[in-house]
Amino acid sequence: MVFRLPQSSGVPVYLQLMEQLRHAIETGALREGDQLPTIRKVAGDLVVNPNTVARAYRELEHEGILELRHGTGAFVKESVGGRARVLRNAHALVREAIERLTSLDLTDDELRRVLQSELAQARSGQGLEKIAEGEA
Amino acid sequence: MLWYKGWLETRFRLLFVFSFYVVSLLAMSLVKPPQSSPFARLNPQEQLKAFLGFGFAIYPVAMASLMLAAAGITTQSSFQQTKGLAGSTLFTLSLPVSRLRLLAIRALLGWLQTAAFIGASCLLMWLALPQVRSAVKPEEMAVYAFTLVFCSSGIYAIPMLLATFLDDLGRMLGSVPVFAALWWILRHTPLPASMDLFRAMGESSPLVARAMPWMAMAFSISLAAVLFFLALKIVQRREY
Amino acid sequence: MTEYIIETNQLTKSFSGAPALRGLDLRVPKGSVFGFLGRNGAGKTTTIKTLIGLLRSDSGTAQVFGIQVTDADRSIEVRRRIGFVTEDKELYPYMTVEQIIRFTRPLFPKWRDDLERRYLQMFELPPKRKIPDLSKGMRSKLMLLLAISRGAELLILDEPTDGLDPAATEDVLRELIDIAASEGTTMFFSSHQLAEVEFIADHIGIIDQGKMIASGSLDEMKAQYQRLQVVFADSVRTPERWVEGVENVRQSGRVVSILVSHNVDAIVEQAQSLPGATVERFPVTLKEIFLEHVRSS
Repeated sequence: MVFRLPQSSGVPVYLQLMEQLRHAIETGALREGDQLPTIRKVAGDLVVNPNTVARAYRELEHEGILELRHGTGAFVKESVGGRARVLRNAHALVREAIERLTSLDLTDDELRRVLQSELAQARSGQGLEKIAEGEA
Repeated sequence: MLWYKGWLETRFRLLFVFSFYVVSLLAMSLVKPPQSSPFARLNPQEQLKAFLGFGFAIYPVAMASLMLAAAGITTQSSFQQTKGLAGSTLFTLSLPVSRLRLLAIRALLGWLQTAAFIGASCLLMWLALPQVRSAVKPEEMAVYAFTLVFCSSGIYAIPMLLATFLDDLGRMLGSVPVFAALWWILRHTPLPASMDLFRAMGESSPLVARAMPWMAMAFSISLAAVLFFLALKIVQRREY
Repeated sequence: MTEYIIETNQLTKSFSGAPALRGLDLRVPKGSVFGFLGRNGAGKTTTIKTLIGLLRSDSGTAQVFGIQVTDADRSIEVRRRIGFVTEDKELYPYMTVEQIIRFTRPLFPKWRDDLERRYLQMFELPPKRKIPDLSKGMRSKLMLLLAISRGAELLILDEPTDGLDPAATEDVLRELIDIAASEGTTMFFSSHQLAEVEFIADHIGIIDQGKMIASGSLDEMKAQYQRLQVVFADSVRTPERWVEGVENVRQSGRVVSILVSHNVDAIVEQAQSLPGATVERFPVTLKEIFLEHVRSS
C-alpha cells in the first residue's frame, strides 16, 4: 500500500497524502506510468473522506505529477521520471553531506534545524544577521 | 409485522392472565356465598346465573383488561424486561409508520386478546363446572360470551387510554379507581339502566334477563371509541 | 445555491424551564459528511430528536428534504427516507437479529437486500441471537445495518461509534464513508471522537449550550485556523490590541502562542512587526478548534 494512515497533527489530510505520494515517487516506490489505487479504495483503506483523497489527486495533477485519465484512473506522469532522477541526485548529495557532518557530533534535531535555517536564509535572501539587526 | 411485534410483546401476559383465571376458577368453585346476602334468596338456577354474571364476567374482564390493554406504543415489555424501554420506543417512532397505526394495532390486538380470553374462559367455565352445564345451554353461553366481549370494550378502553401516558404499574393502579367511578356513575346517576354495561354483564345479562342488552353494548362500544380517540390525541401530541 | 438536506432556523426548545436549544441555526449540505460536535448536554440529541419528529420545538423552524418537520402529512414520507441510529442503541429485547430485520424490511420499499447481506456478514451478526445477548458494539452495528439497508438518502447517527473498540470503530467509519461515496448518502452524525471526525467529515458544526457556535466546511476552517508561535529574543512585547481574528493568546516565558480563526496574514504581519519577534505558523487540529470554541463560549 502506497499510503500510510494520516496523523491527526492538524496538517490537512490531503496535504499529508500529497507529501506521501511525492515521497513514494522520489524514492522510486512509484514509477512513471504506474497506476494509483482508486480514490474509493484509498479512502476505504485509510478511513478518510473520499473528497480528501480526490483533492490530493487533483492538486498533484495541477502540479504536473499525476495524470488523471477520465474513466481509467490516476497515473504517475511520464515526465515525472526526469524529476525523480534530479531528486535521486539530491539524495546522493545530502547523503554525502550527512556522512561528513556525522564527525561534528550533532543530534538529528540540531541537524534539521541547521538545514531549515539555511534553507530559509537561502530563500528569503536575508541572513540571520538581518533579523538580529532589527532589534537595534 | 407490527401485529407480530405486538404479539411477541404481549403473549406472556395472555398466558399469565389465563393461568390466573384458571386458578381463580378453581378457587371460586369452592367458595360459598354468605347466607344473609340477597344472593341466597334466589333459587339455585338464578343463583348460578347471578354468580356467573358477577363472579365470572366482571372480575375476569376487569383483570384481562388491566393486563392486556398494553397499548400506548411505549409499554412493550413483559414483566421481566424493564430495560430497553425508552430507547426502543425511539426506534419505533423513527420508523415510517403513523402513530395512529401504531396505537390502533396495539389497542386492537389487546382487544382481540381480551375477546379471545373471554371466549375461552366462558368455554372453560362451561366445561369445568357441571352446575353451569346443567343450567346453561351451549348457545346461551355463546350469546353470553358475545355480550361480554362487547360490554367489556368500554372497560378495556380505560387502561388502554391510561397506557398512553402511564407505565405498567401506573396503568394498573390507576385503572381501578376509574372502573369504580364508571360503575358508580352508571348505577347512581339518572342515566338509563339499560346503558349500564356492568349490569349487562351481570343481572341484566342474556343469561338472566333473557334479552340482549343492546343499549349497554352500544354504549360500551361508543365509550371505547371515544377513549381511543382521546388516546390517539395523547399519543400524537406527546414527546419522547 | 447549495441544497441543504437539513436546515434549522433559530430552533428553540426548553424542558421544564431549562433551555436545551437557544436559537440553533444548522445547515447540512446534501451529500456531505457532517460531523455534529458538542459537549454532553450541549443539545445534540435534542436537535436530532427534533429533526426526527420526536420532539416539538418551542419556536423556530426545521426542515428535512425541504419539508417542515412539523408537517404531519408528510412526516411518514420523510422517515421513509431517513436512517436513524439512536444514542442508546436500544432495540426490541424480545427479538432476534433476524426477526428485527424481517420486521423492519417491509416498511421500506427501497430496502437493499445486497447491503443487508453484506453487513450481516461483515459485522458478523449472528442471525438467531437475541438482541439483549448482543454486546453494545454489536447492537450499534445492528442498528447501523438497519439504518443503511433501508436505502436511505440521509443517515442521522447519534454517536455511531460510541462503545466500539478501535477496530470496530474503523470498520464502522469505513463503511459509512463507503456508503457516502458510492450511494451519495448524506451523513449527519454526532461524535466525541474528534480525530475520526477530522478524517471523515467534510463539514462540521459545533454546538454549545444550545447554539451553533461554529460551522462550515472543514477544509475551509482548517485553512483559516492557524496557531502562531511568536518567540521573542528577550522581552515579550505584545500589542495593545490585536487585529481581528485572534481567538486567544497564551504566554509562557518568551513564547507567545496565538490561536487564529481567520485573517491570519494580517496577524502574522502584526506579530512580525513586534521587536525581537520570530513568527512560526502551525496547523491546528479539530480538537484544538473544538476546545477553543466550547471553552470560551
